[in-house]
Amino acid sequence: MRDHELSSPVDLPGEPIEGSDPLGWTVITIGVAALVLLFANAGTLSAWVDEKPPTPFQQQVSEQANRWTALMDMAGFTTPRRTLHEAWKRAQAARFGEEAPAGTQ
Amino acid sequence: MLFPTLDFGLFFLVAFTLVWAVSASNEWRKILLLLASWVFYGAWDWRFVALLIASAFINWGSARIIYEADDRRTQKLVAAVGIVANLGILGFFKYYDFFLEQLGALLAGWGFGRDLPLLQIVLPVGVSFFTFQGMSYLIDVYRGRIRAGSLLDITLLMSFFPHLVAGPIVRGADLLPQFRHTPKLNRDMVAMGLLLIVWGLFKKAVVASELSVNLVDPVFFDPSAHSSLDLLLAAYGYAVQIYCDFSAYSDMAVGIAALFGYRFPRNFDQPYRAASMQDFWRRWHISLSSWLRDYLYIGLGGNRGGLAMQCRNILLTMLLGGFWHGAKWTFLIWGGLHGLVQVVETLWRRAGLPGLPRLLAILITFHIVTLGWIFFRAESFDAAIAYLGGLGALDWTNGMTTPLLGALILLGMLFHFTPPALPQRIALGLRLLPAPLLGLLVAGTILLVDAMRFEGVAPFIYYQF
Repeated sequence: MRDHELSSPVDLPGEPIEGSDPLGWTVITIGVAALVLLFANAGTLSAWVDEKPPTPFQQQVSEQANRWTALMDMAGFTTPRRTLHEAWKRAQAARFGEEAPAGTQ
Repeated sequence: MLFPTLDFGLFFLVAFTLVWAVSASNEWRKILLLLASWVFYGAWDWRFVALLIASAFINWGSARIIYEADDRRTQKLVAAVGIVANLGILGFFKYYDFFLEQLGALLAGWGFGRDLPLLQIVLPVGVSFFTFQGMSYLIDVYRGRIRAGSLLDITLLMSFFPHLVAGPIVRGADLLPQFRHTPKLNRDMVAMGLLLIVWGLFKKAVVASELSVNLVDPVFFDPSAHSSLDLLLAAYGYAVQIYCDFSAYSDMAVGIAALFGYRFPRNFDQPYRAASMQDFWRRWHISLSSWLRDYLYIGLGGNRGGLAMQCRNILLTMLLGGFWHGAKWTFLIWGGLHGLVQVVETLWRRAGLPGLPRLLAILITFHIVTLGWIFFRAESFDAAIAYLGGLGALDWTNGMTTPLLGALILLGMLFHFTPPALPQRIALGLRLLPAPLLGLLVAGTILLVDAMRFEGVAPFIYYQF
Protein backbone atom coordinates (compact mmCIF):
# COMPACT_ATOMS: atom_id res chain seq x y z
CA MET A 1 0.00 0.00 0.00
CA ARG A 2 1.26 3.42 -0.92
CA ASP A 3 1.81 5.88 1.88
CA HIS A 4 -1.11 8.22 2.10
CA GLU A 5 0.03 11.79 2.50
CA LEU A 6 -2.27 14.69 3.16
CA SER A 7 -1.92 17.28 0.44
CA SER A 8 -4.11 20.23 1.37
CA PRO A 9 -4.73 23.30 -0.77
CA VAL A 10 -4.53 25.49 2.35
CA ASP A 11 -0.82 24.72 2.74
CA LEU A 12 0.75 27.60 0.85
CA PRO A 13 4.30 27.38 -0.46
CA GLY A 14 7.00 29.01 1.65
CA GLU A 15 6.99 29.97 5.29
CA PRO A 16 3.53 30.64 6.77
CA ILE A 17 2.89 34.05 8.31
CA GLU A 18 2.09 33.39 11.93
CA GLY A 19 1.47 37.07 12.78
CA SER A 20 0.86 38.37 16.25
CA ASP A 21 -2.78 37.33 16.42
CA PRO A 22 -4.05 35.30 13.43
CA LEU A 23 -7.36 34.56 15.17
CA GLY A 24 -7.97 38.27 15.77
CA TRP A 25 -7.10 38.98 12.12
CA THR A 26 -9.61 36.32 11.05
CA VAL A 27 -12.35 37.56 13.38
CA ILE A 28 -11.99 41.13 12.09
CA THR A 29 -12.03 39.92 8.47
CA ILE A 30 -15.18 37.85 8.94
CA GLY A 31 -16.80 40.53 11.12
CA VAL A 32 -16.22 43.29 8.53
CA ALA A 33 -17.50 41.03 5.73
CA ALA A 34 -20.67 40.20 7.71
CA LEU A 35 -21.27 43.84 8.56
CA VAL A 36 -20.82 45.05 4.99
CA LEU A 37 -23.24 42.38 3.78
CA LEU A 38 -25.75 43.38 6.44
CA PHE A 39 -25.77 46.88 4.93
CA ALA A 40 -25.21 46.25 1.23
CA ASN A 41 -27.22 43.05 0.92
CA ALA A 42 -30.14 43.93 3.18
CA GLY A 43 -32.69 42.71 0.60
CA THR A 44 -31.38 39.15 0.88
CA LEU A 45 -31.85 39.27 4.63
CA SER A 46 -35.48 40.36 4.42
CA ALA A 47 -36.18 37.83 1.64
CA TRP A 48 -34.71 35.12 3.86
CA VAL A 49 -36.90 36.13 6.81
CA ASP A 50 -39.98 36.24 4.57
CA GLU A 51 -39.33 32.63 3.45
CA LYS A 52 -39.58 31.31 7.02
CA PRO A 53 -42.84 29.72 8.22
CA PRO A 54 -45.20 32.47 9.37
CA THR A 55 -45.46 32.91 13.14
CA PRO A 56 -46.09 36.07 15.22
CA PHE A 57 -42.33 36.24 15.91
CA GLN A 58 -41.46 35.76 12.24
CA GLN A 59 -43.85 38.57 11.30
CA GLN A 60 -42.24 40.91 13.81
CA VAL A 61 -38.77 40.08 12.49
CA SER A 62 -40.01 40.41 8.92
CA GLU A 63 -41.32 43.93 9.61
CA GLN A 64 -37.99 44.92 11.16
CA ALA A 65 -36.03 43.38 8.28
CA ASN A 66 -38.18 45.17 5.69
CA ARG A 67 -37.75 48.45 7.54
CA TRP A 68 -34.00 47.86 7.58
CA THR A 69 -34.00 47.12 3.84
CA ALA A 70 -35.97 50.27 3.10
CA LEU A 71 -33.52 52.29 5.18
CA MET A 72 -30.53 50.81 3.33
CA ASP A 73 -32.23 51.41 -0.02
CA MET A 74 -32.80 55.04 0.93
CA ALA A 75 -29.18 55.43 2.02
CA GLY A 76 -28.01 53.95 -1.30
CA PHE A 77 -26.13 51.03 0.25
CA THR A 78 -28.03 48.45 -1.80
CA THR A 79 -27.52 50.26 -5.12
CA PRO A 80 -24.36 48.34 -6.17
CA ARG A 81 -26.06 44.97 -5.73
CA ARG A 82 -29.21 46.13 -7.53
CA THR A 83 -27.20 47.56 -10.43
CA LEU A 84 -25.19 44.35 -10.76
CA HIS A 85 -28.34 42.24 -10.61
CA GLU A 86 -29.99 44.28 -13.37
CA ALA A 87 -26.89 43.89 -15.55
CA TRP A 88 -26.94 40.14 -14.92
CA LYS A 89 -30.63 39.94 -15.87
CA ARG A 90 -29.86 41.75 -19.14
CA ALA A 91 -27.08 39.24 -19.83
CA GLN A 92 -29.51 36.39 -19.15
CA ALA A 93 -32.07 37.86 -21.57
CA ALA A 94 -29.55 38.38 -24.42
CA ARG A 95 -29.87 36.06 -27.44
CA PHE A 96 -27.78 35.28 -30.49
CA GLY A 97 -28.92 37.51 -33.37
CA GLU A 98 -32.66 37.51 -33.95
CA GLU A 99 -33.48 34.48 -31.82
CA ALA A 100 -36.58 34.88 -29.69
CA PRO A 101 -36.12 34.84 -25.91
CA ALA A 102 -36.61 31.39 -24.37
CA GLY A 103 -40.25 30.63 -23.59
CA THR A 104 -41.66 32.90 -26.31
CA GLN A 105 -41.12 30.58 -29.27
CA MET B 1 -28.71 23.26 5.22
CA LEU B 2 -26.85 24.18 2.03
CA PHE B 3 -23.51 26.01 2.09
CA PRO B 4 -24.53 28.88 -0.22
CA THR B 5 -27.50 29.98 1.90
CA LEU B 6 -28.05 32.52 4.65
CA ASP B 7 -29.13 29.68 6.98
CA PHE B 8 -25.68 28.20 6.71
CA GLY B 9 -23.99 31.60 6.89
CA LEU B 10 -25.65 32.33 10.24
CA PHE B 11 -25.00 28.77 11.47
CA PHE B 12 -21.33 29.18 10.57
CA LEU B 13 -21.01 32.54 12.38
CA VAL B 14 -22.46 31.05 15.59
CA ALA B 15 -20.37 27.85 15.37
CA PHE B 16 -17.17 29.77 14.56
CA THR B 17 -17.66 32.14 17.51
CA LEU B 18 -18.52 29.43 20.04
CA VAL B 19 -15.81 26.98 18.96
CA TRP B 20 -12.98 29.52 19.08
CA ALA B 21 -14.37 30.94 22.35
CA VAL B 22 -13.87 27.59 24.12
CA SER B 23 -10.61 26.67 22.42
CA ALA B 24 -8.68 26.78 25.67
CA SER B 25 -10.03 23.25 26.10
CA ASN B 26 -9.56 20.99 23.09
CA GLU B 27 -12.17 18.55 24.43
CA TRP B 28 -14.86 21.21 24.76
CA ARG B 29 -13.96 22.51 21.34
CA LYS B 30 -14.49 19.06 19.82
CA ILE B 31 -17.74 18.54 21.76
CA LEU B 32 -19.07 21.85 20.39
CA LEU B 33 -17.99 20.94 16.87
CA LEU B 34 -19.76 17.62 17.25
CA LEU B 35 -22.98 19.24 18.47
CA ALA B 36 -22.80 21.79 15.65
CA SER B 37 -22.32 18.93 13.17
CA TRP B 38 -25.40 17.14 14.46
CA VAL B 39 -27.44 20.36 14.22
CA PHE B 40 -26.19 20.74 10.63
CA TYR B 41 -27.08 17.15 9.75
CA GLY B 42 -30.33 17.20 11.70
CA ALA B 43 -31.54 20.13 9.59
CA TRP B 44 -32.32 17.49 6.91
CA ASP B 45 -33.77 14.82 9.13
CA TRP B 46 -33.15 14.40 12.85
CA ARG B 47 -33.71 10.64 12.67
CA PHE B 48 -30.55 10.14 10.66
CA VAL B 49 -28.40 11.74 13.36
CA ALA B 50 -29.02 8.51 15.28
CA LEU B 51 -27.77 6.53 12.27
CA LEU B 52 -24.63 8.66 12.15
CA ILE B 53 -24.01 8.08 15.86
CA ALA B 54 -24.67 4.34 15.53
CA SER B 55 -22.26 4.12 12.61
CA ALA B 56 -19.59 5.95 14.62
CA PHE B 57 -20.15 3.59 17.58
CA ILE B 58 -19.72 0.52 15.35
CA ASN B 59 -16.45 1.80 13.92
CA TRP B 60 -15.09 3.06 17.23
CA GLY B 61 -15.94 -0.22 19.01
CA SER B 62 -14.62 -2.48 16.25
CA ALA B 63 -11.38 -0.53 15.93
CA ARG B 64 -10.88 -0.52 19.69
CA ILE B 65 -11.24 -4.34 19.85
CA ILE B 66 -8.88 -4.77 16.87
CA TYR B 67 -6.32 -2.45 18.45
CA GLU B 68 -6.36 -4.21 21.79
CA ALA B 69 -6.60 -7.81 20.52
CA ASP B 70 -3.43 -9.87 20.68
CA ASP B 71 -4.09 -12.42 17.96
CA ARG B 72 -4.49 -11.75 14.28
CA ARG B 73 -7.49 -14.08 13.97
CA THR B 74 -9.62 -12.01 16.34
CA GLN B 75 -8.50 -8.82 14.61
CA LYS B 76 -9.46 -10.23 11.22
CA LEU B 77 -12.83 -11.44 12.45
CA VAL B 78 -13.74 -8.10 14.07
CA ALA B 79 -12.54 -6.15 11.02
CA ALA B 80 -14.73 -8.35 8.81
CA VAL B 81 -17.74 -7.87 11.10
CA GLY B 82 -17.16 -4.09 11.17
CA ILE B 83 -16.88 -3.86 7.40
CA VAL B 84 -19.99 -5.98 6.92
CA ALA B 85 -21.86 -3.72 9.37
CA ASN B 86 -20.81 -0.61 7.38
CA LEU B 87 -21.75 -2.24 4.11
CA GLY B 88 -25.00 -3.39 5.71
CA ILE B 89 -25.95 0.21 6.51
CA LEU B 90 -25.04 1.34 3.01
CA GLY B 91 -26.70 -1.66 1.39
CA PHE B 92 -29.94 -1.31 3.31
CA PHE B 93 -30.46 2.40 2.73
CA LYS B 94 -29.06 2.63 -0.76
CA TYR B 95 -29.46 -0.68 -2.53
CA TYR B 96 -32.24 -2.70 -0.82
CA ASP B 97 -35.08 -1.52 -3.05
CA PHE B 98 -32.91 -1.69 -6.18
CA PHE B 99 -31.92 -5.32 -5.62
CA LEU B 100 -35.48 -6.28 -4.76
CA GLU B 101 -36.74 -4.61 -7.95
CA GLN B 102 -34.16 -6.55 -9.99
CA LEU B 103 -35.15 -9.77 -8.22
CA GLY B 104 -38.82 -9.03 -8.94
CA ALA B 105 -38.05 -8.48 -12.64
CA LEU B 106 -36.01 -11.70 -12.75
CA LEU B 107 -38.77 -13.73 -11.07
CA ALA B 108 -41.38 -12.23 -13.37
CA GLY B 109 -39.22 -13.21 -16.35
CA TRP B 110 -39.20 -16.80 -15.11
CA GLY B 111 -42.95 -16.75 -14.60
CA PHE B 112 -42.83 -16.41 -10.80
CA GLY B 113 -44.03 -12.79 -10.52
CA ARG B 114 -44.45 -11.77 -6.86
CA ASP B 115 -45.17 -8.54 -4.95
CA LEU B 116 -41.87 -8.09 -3.15
CA PRO B 117 -41.71 -5.95 0.03
CA LEU B 118 -40.23 -2.71 -1.31
CA LEU B 119 -39.64 -0.27 1.54
CA GLN B 120 -39.35 3.05 -0.35
CA ILE B 121 -36.43 3.86 1.92
CA VAL B 122 -35.41 7.51 2.28
CA LEU B 123 -31.69 7.81 1.56
CA PRO B 124 -29.80 9.53 4.39
CA VAL B 125 -27.78 12.43 2.97
CA GLY B 126 -24.08 11.61 2.74
CA VAL B 127 -24.43 7.95 3.79
CA SER B 128 -21.96 6.82 1.10
CA PHE B 129 -19.39 9.31 2.34
CA PHE B 130 -19.53 8.58 6.04
CA THR B 131 -19.64 4.79 5.64
CA PHE B 132 -16.57 4.87 3.36
CA GLN B 133 -14.87 7.09 5.89
CA GLY B 134 -15.71 4.69 8.72
CA MET B 135 -14.47 1.70 6.72
CA SER B 136 -11.16 3.35 5.85
CA TYR B 137 -10.58 4.10 9.54
CA LEU B 138 -11.34 0.50 10.48
CA ILE B 139 -9.08 -0.95 7.79
CA ASP B 140 -6.25 1.45 8.66
CA VAL B 141 -6.40 0.36 12.32
CA TYR B 142 -6.49 -3.30 11.21
CA ARG B 143 -3.47 -2.75 8.95
CA GLY B 144 -1.64 -1.07 11.82
CA ARG B 145 -1.34 2.26 10.01
CA ILE B 146 -3.04 4.29 12.74
CA ARG B 147 -3.92 3.70 16.36
CA ALA B 148 -7.53 3.46 17.57
CA GLY B 149 -9.04 6.84 18.45
CA SER B 150 -11.31 7.93 21.30
CA LEU B 151 -15.09 7.78 20.95
CA LEU B 152 -15.26 11.58 20.73
CA ASP B 153 -12.62 11.75 18.00
CA ILE B 154 -14.17 8.97 15.90
CA THR B 155 -17.67 10.42 16.20
CA LEU B 156 -16.33 13.83 15.19
CA LEU B 157 -14.25 12.31 12.37
CA MET B 158 -17.41 10.88 10.86
CA SER B 159 -19.75 13.78 11.70
CA PHE B 160 -17.60 16.89 11.13
CA PHE B 161 -20.01 19.08 9.20
CA PRO B 162 -17.81 20.55 6.42
CA HIS B 163 -17.22 17.13 4.80
CA LEU B 164 -20.22 15.24 6.19
CA VAL B 165 -22.64 15.20 3.29
CA ALA B 166 -20.51 15.34 0.14
CA GLY B 167 -16.88 14.82 1.08
CA PRO B 168 -14.01 15.01 0.56
CA ILE B 169 -13.66 11.57 2.14
CA VAL B 170 -11.26 12.59 4.91
CA ARG B 171 -9.46 9.59 6.37
CA GLY B 172 -8.71 8.98 10.01
CA ALA B 173 -5.01 9.10 9.17
CA ASP B 174 -5.51 12.70 7.99
CA LEU B 175 -7.85 14.10 10.61
CA LEU B 176 -7.33 12.15 13.85
CA PRO B 177 -3.81 13.50 14.44
CA GLN B 178 -5.22 17.01 13.97
CA PHE B 179 -7.88 16.34 16.62
CA ARG B 180 -5.30 15.55 19.28
CA HIS B 181 -4.38 19.19 19.90
CA THR B 182 -6.18 22.52 19.65
CA PRO B 183 -5.36 23.67 16.13
CA LYS B 184 -3.53 26.93 15.54
CA LEU B 185 -4.71 29.30 12.86
CA ASN B 186 -2.30 31.09 10.60
CA ARG B 187 -2.96 33.69 7.96
CA ASP B 188 -2.04 31.30 5.15
CA MET B 189 -4.82 28.86 5.82
CA VAL B 190 -7.36 31.59 6.55
CA ALA B 191 -6.54 33.51 3.35
CA MET B 192 -6.70 30.33 1.26
CA GLY B 193 -9.81 29.15 3.13
CA LEU B 194 -11.69 32.39 2.41
CA LEU B 195 -10.58 32.32 -1.20
CA LEU B 196 -11.83 28.74 -1.59
CA ILE B 197 -15.17 29.63 0.01
CA VAL B 198 -15.92 32.59 -2.28
CA TRP B 199 -14.57 30.73 -5.30
CA GLY B 200 -16.78 27.76 -4.48
CA LEU B 201 -19.77 30.10 -4.04
CA PHE B 202 -19.17 31.53 -7.50
CA LYS B 203 -18.82 28.13 -9.17
CA LYS B 204 -21.93 26.72 -7.50
CA ALA B 205 -24.33 29.64 -7.24
CA VAL B 206 -23.50 31.26 -10.58
CA VAL B 207 -21.99 28.80 -13.08
CA ALA B 208 -23.50 25.47 -12.01
CA SER B 209 -26.95 26.84 -11.10
CA GLU B 210 -27.33 28.92 -14.27
CA LEU B 211 -26.29 26.04 -16.53
CA SER B 212 -28.46 23.59 -14.63
CA VAL B 213 -31.67 25.60 -14.65
CA ASN B 214 -31.51 27.19 -18.10
CA LEU B 215 -29.82 24.50 -20.20
CA VAL B 216 -29.03 21.08 -18.74
CA ASP B 217 -32.24 20.26 -16.86
CA PRO B 218 -34.67 21.20 -19.64
CA VAL B 219 -32.66 19.36 -22.31
CA PHE B 220 -32.13 16.18 -20.28
CA PHE B 221 -35.80 16.25 -19.22
CA ASP B 222 -36.97 15.75 -22.80
CA PRO B 223 -34.11 15.14 -25.26
CA SER B 224 -36.52 14.38 -28.10
CA ALA B 225 -37.77 17.99 -28.05
CA HIS B 226 -34.30 19.41 -28.72
CA SER B 227 -31.91 19.72 -31.62
CA SER B 228 -28.56 17.94 -31.86
CA LEU B 229 -26.82 21.25 -31.11
CA ASP B 230 -28.86 21.70 -27.94
CA LEU B 231 -28.03 18.14 -26.90
CA LEU B 232 -24.33 18.62 -27.60
CA LEU B 233 -24.13 21.91 -25.71
CA ALA B 234 -26.19 20.51 -22.82
CA ALA B 235 -23.74 17.59 -22.58
CA TYR B 236 -20.81 20.04 -22.46
CA GLY B 237 -22.90 22.16 -20.08
CA TYR B 238 -23.39 19.20 -17.77
CA ALA B 239 -19.65 18.44 -17.83
CA VAL B 240 -19.03 22.00 -16.64
CA GLN B 241 -22.00 21.99 -14.25
CA ILE B 242 -21.01 18.82 -12.40
CA TYR B 243 -17.42 20.00 -12.10
CA CYS B 244 -18.45 23.44 -10.83
CA ASP B 245 -21.05 21.93 -8.50
CA PHE B 246 -18.97 19.18 -6.93
CA SER B 247 -15.62 20.97 -6.83
CA ALA B 248 -17.44 23.97 -5.32
CA TYR B 249 -18.65 21.82 -2.45
CA SER B 250 -15.15 20.45 -1.91
CA ASP B 251 -13.59 23.92 -2.08
CA MET B 252 -16.05 25.29 0.45
CA ALA B 253 -15.59 22.25 2.71
CA VAL B 254 -11.81 22.69 2.64
CA GLY B 255 -12.18 26.44 3.24
CA ILE B 256 -14.66 26.11 6.11
CA ALA B 257 -12.53 23.44 7.81
CA ALA B 258 -9.51 25.74 7.46
CA LEU B 259 -11.36 28.52 9.33
CA PHE B 260 -11.75 26.05 12.21
CA GLY B 261 -8.04 25.28 11.97
CA TYR B 262 -8.19 21.88 10.20
CA ARG B 263 -6.61 20.80 6.94
CA PHE B 264 -8.62 18.74 4.47
CA PRO B 265 -7.11 17.03 1.41
CA ARG B 266 -7.29 18.36 -2.12
CA ASN B 267 -10.22 16.77 -4.00
CA PHE B 268 -9.91 18.24 -7.52
CA ASP B 269 -7.02 19.21 -9.73
CA GLN B 270 -8.30 20.64 -13.04
CA PRO B 271 -9.73 17.27 -14.17
CA TYR B 272 -10.60 18.26 -17.76
CA ARG B 273 -6.96 18.83 -18.60
CA ALA B 274 -6.36 15.10 -18.07
CA ALA B 275 -4.64 13.39 -20.99
CA SER B 276 -5.92 9.90 -20.16
CA MET B 277 -8.66 8.32 -18.09
CA GLN B 278 -6.12 7.25 -15.47
CA ASP B 279 -4.93 10.85 -15.35
CA PHE B 280 -8.56 11.98 -15.03
CA TRP B 281 -8.98 9.86 -11.90
CA ARG B 282 -5.87 11.40 -10.39
CA ARG B 283 -7.60 14.78 -10.75
CA TRP B 284 -11.34 14.09 -10.19
CA HIS B 285 -12.78 13.31 -6.74
CA ILE B 286 -9.26 12.42 -5.60
CA SER B 287 -10.38 11.34 -2.13
CA LEU B 288 -12.70 8.70 -3.68
CA SER B 289 -10.26 7.52 -6.36
CA SER B 290 -7.45 7.14 -3.80
CA TRP B 291 -9.90 5.34 -1.49
CA LEU B 292 -10.86 2.93 -4.28
CA ARG B 293 -7.18 2.42 -5.11
CA ASP B 294 -6.01 1.79 -1.54
CA TYR B 295 -8.93 -0.22 -0.16
CA LEU B 296 -10.44 -1.93 -3.21
CA TYR B 297 -8.07 -2.14 -6.19
CA ILE B 298 -5.04 -3.13 -4.09
CA GLY B 299 -7.28 -5.38 -1.97
CA LEU B 300 -8.31 -7.21 -5.13
CA GLY B 301 -4.65 -7.77 -5.99
CA GLY B 302 -3.86 -4.55 -7.87
CA ASN B 303 -1.36 -5.12 -10.66
CA ARG B 304 -0.05 -8.33 -9.12
CA GLY B 305 -0.95 -11.60 -10.83
CA GLY B 306 -0.41 -10.62 -14.43
CA LEU B 307 -2.03 -8.42 -17.04
CA ALA B 308 -5.37 -10.23 -17.14
CA MET B 309 -5.81 -9.91 -13.37
CA GLN B 310 -4.82 -6.23 -13.47
CA CYS B 311 -7.43 -5.55 -16.16
CA ARG B 312 -10.06 -7.46 -14.17
CA ASN B 313 -9.21 -5.46 -11.04
CA ILE B 314 -9.41 -2.14 -12.87
CA LEU B 315 -12.80 -3.06 -14.32
CA LEU B 316 -14.19 -4.32 -11.00
CA THR B 317 -12.93 -1.25 -9.14
CA MET B 318 -14.50 1.16 -11.60
CA LEU B 319 -17.77 -0.80 -11.77
CA LEU B 320 -18.06 -0.72 -7.98
CA GLY B 321 -16.99 2.95 -8.00
CA GLY B 322 -19.87 3.61 -10.38
CA PHE B 323 -22.29 1.66 -8.22
CA TRP B 324 -21.14 3.62 -5.15
CA HIS B 325 -22.80 6.65 -6.75
CA GLY B 326 -26.23 5.07 -6.71
CA ALA B 327 -28.43 2.08 -7.29
CA LYS B 328 -29.00 2.60 -11.01
CA TRP B 329 -27.82 0.77 -14.10
CA THR B 330 -26.68 4.07 -15.59
CA PHE B 331 -24.06 4.47 -12.84
CA LEU B 332 -22.80 0.94 -13.51
CA ILE B 333 -22.50 1.74 -17.21
CA TRP B 334 -20.69 4.98 -16.35
CA GLY B 335 -18.23 3.11 -14.12
CA GLY B 336 -17.89 0.33 -16.70
CA LEU B 337 -17.06 2.85 -19.43
CA HIS B 338 -14.36 4.45 -17.27
CA GLY B 339 -12.98 1.02 -16.39
CA LEU B 340 -13.01 -0.21 -19.98
CA VAL B 341 -11.11 2.84 -21.25
CA GLN B 342 -8.52 2.42 -18.50
CA VAL B 343 -8.10 -1.23 -19.50
CA VAL B 344 -7.55 -0.13 -23.12
CA GLU B 345 -4.98 2.44 -21.92
CA THR B 346 -3.19 -0.23 -19.88
CA LEU B 347 -3.07 -2.62 -22.85
CA TRP B 348 -1.93 0.23 -25.11
CA ARG B 349 0.98 1.01 -22.80
CA ARG B 350 1.91 -2.66 -22.37
CA ALA B 351 1.96 -3.10 -26.16
CA GLY B 352 4.49 -0.28 -26.33
CA LEU B 353 2.33 1.77 -28.70
CA PRO B 354 3.26 5.46 -29.00
CA GLY B 355 1.27 8.01 -26.96
CA LEU B 356 -1.01 10.52 -28.69
CA PRO B 357 -0.05 14.22 -28.92
CA ARG B 358 -1.03 15.80 -25.59
CA LEU B 359 -3.70 18.17 -26.94
CA LEU B 360 -5.38 15.35 -28.89
CA ALA B 361 -5.22 13.09 -25.82
CA ILE B 362 -6.87 15.81 -23.70
CA LEU B 363 -9.63 16.30 -26.29
CA ILE B 364 -10.32 12.56 -26.57
CA THR B 365 -10.31 12.08 -22.79
CA PHE B 366 -12.68 15.01 -22.29
CA HIS B 367 -15.12 13.64 -24.85
CA ILE B 368 -15.08 10.14 -23.34
CA VAL B 369 -15.71 11.71 -19.93
CA THR B 370 -18.57 13.76 -21.41
CA LEU B 371 -20.05 10.62 -22.99
CA GLY B 372 -19.92 9.03 -19.54
CA TRP B 373 -21.68 12.07 -18.03
CA ILE B 374 -24.64 11.50 -20.37
CA PHE B 375 -25.22 8.09 -18.75
CA PHE B 376 -24.50 9.56 -15.32
CA ARG B 377 -27.08 12.33 -15.76
CA ALA B 378 -29.78 10.44 -17.69
CA GLU B 379 -32.78 9.10 -15.79
CA SER B 380 -32.44 5.65 -17.36
CA PHE B 381 -30.45 3.65 -19.88
CA ASP B 382 -33.17 4.19 -22.50
CA ALA B 383 -33.09 7.95 -21.90
CA ALA B 384 -29.30 7.98 -22.37
CA ILE B 385 -29.61 6.02 -25.63
CA ALA B 386 -32.35 8.40 -26.82
CA TYR B 387 -30.04 11.31 -25.98
CA LEU B 388 -27.21 9.78 -28.04
CA GLY B 389 -29.68 9.06 -30.86
CA GLY B 390 -30.71 12.73 -30.84
CA LEU B 391 -27.05 13.75 -31.10
CA GLY B 392 -26.79 11.61 -34.22
CA ALA B 393 -29.76 13.36 -35.87
CA LEU B 394 -27.40 16.18 -36.94
CA ASP B 395 -29.95 18.97 -36.52
CA TRP B 396 -27.81 22.04 -35.82
CA THR B 397 -30.46 24.64 -34.94
CA ASN B 398 -30.04 26.45 -31.63
CA GLY B 399 -33.05 26.40 -29.37
CA MET B 400 -31.55 26.78 -25.90
CA THR B 401 -28.11 28.29 -25.78
CA THR B 402 -27.77 31.98 -25.05
CA PRO B 403 -24.57 34.05 -25.17
CA LEU B 404 -24.44 33.90 -21.37
CA LEU B 405 -24.76 30.10 -21.24
CA GLY B 406 -22.14 29.72 -23.97
CA ALA B 407 -19.81 32.03 -22.05
CA LEU B 408 -20.32 30.05 -18.83
CA ILE B 409 -19.46 26.75 -20.60
CA LEU B 410 -16.29 28.34 -21.97
CA LEU B 411 -15.49 29.84 -18.56
CA GLY B 412 -15.92 26.45 -16.88
CA MET B 413 -13.43 24.96 -19.34
CA LEU B 414 -11.09 27.92 -18.97
CA PHE B 415 -10.79 27.20 -15.21
CA HIS B 416 -8.93 24.03 -16.23
CA PHE B 417 -6.26 25.80 -18.23
CA THR B 418 -5.21 28.49 -15.77
CA PRO B 419 -1.87 27.99 -13.95
CA PRO B 420 -2.52 25.29 -11.31
CA ALA B 421 -0.82 27.37 -8.61
CA LEU B 422 -2.86 30.51 -9.34
CA PRO B 423 -5.22 30.25 -6.32
CA GLN B 424 -2.30 29.76 -3.96
CA ARG B 425 -0.48 32.74 -5.47
CA ILE B 426 -3.58 34.89 -4.94
CA ALA B 427 -3.82 33.65 -1.33
CA LEU B 428 -0.17 34.56 -0.77
CA GLY B 429 -1.14 38.13 -1.65
CA LEU B 430 -4.36 38.12 0.40
CA ARG B 431 -2.60 37.04 3.59
CA LEU B 432 -0.64 40.32 3.61
CA LEU B 433 -3.75 42.53 3.55
CA PRO B 434 -5.06 44.32 6.64
CA ALA B 435 -8.09 42.47 8.02
CA PRO B 436 -10.68 45.23 7.29
CA LEU B 437 -9.57 45.41 3.65
CA LEU B 438 -9.75 41.64 3.25
CA GLY B 439 -13.20 41.69 4.90
CA LEU B 440 -14.33 44.31 2.35
CA LEU B 441 -12.98 42.20 -0.49
CA VAL B 442 -14.75 39.07 0.78
CA ALA B 443 -18.03 40.97 1.20
CA GLY B 444 -17.69 42.55 -2.26
CA THR B 445 -17.18 39.15 -3.87
CA ILE B 446 -20.11 37.59 -2.03
CA LEU B 447 -22.26 40.56 -3.08
CA LEU B 448 -21.21 40.04 -6.69
CA VAL B 449 -22.07 36.33 -6.52
CA ASP B 450 -25.40 37.09 -4.85
CA ALA B 451 -26.29 39.58 -7.57
CA MET B 452 -25.59 36.97 -10.26
CA ARG B 453 -26.98 33.88 -8.63
CA PHE B 454 -30.12 32.24 -9.86
CA GLU B 455 -33.10 32.73 -7.54
CA GLY B 456 -32.79 29.94 -4.98
CA VAL B 457 -29.99 27.38 -4.87
CA ALA B 458 -30.48 23.74 -5.89
CA PRO B 459 -28.92 21.07 -3.66
CA PHE B 460 -25.45 19.91 -4.65
CA ILE B 461 -25.49 17.00 -7.13
CA TYR B 462 -23.42 14.81 -4.82
CA TYR B 463 -25.92 15.18 -1.93
CA GLN B 464 -27.89 12.31 -3.51
CA PHE B 465 -24.93 9.96 -3.16
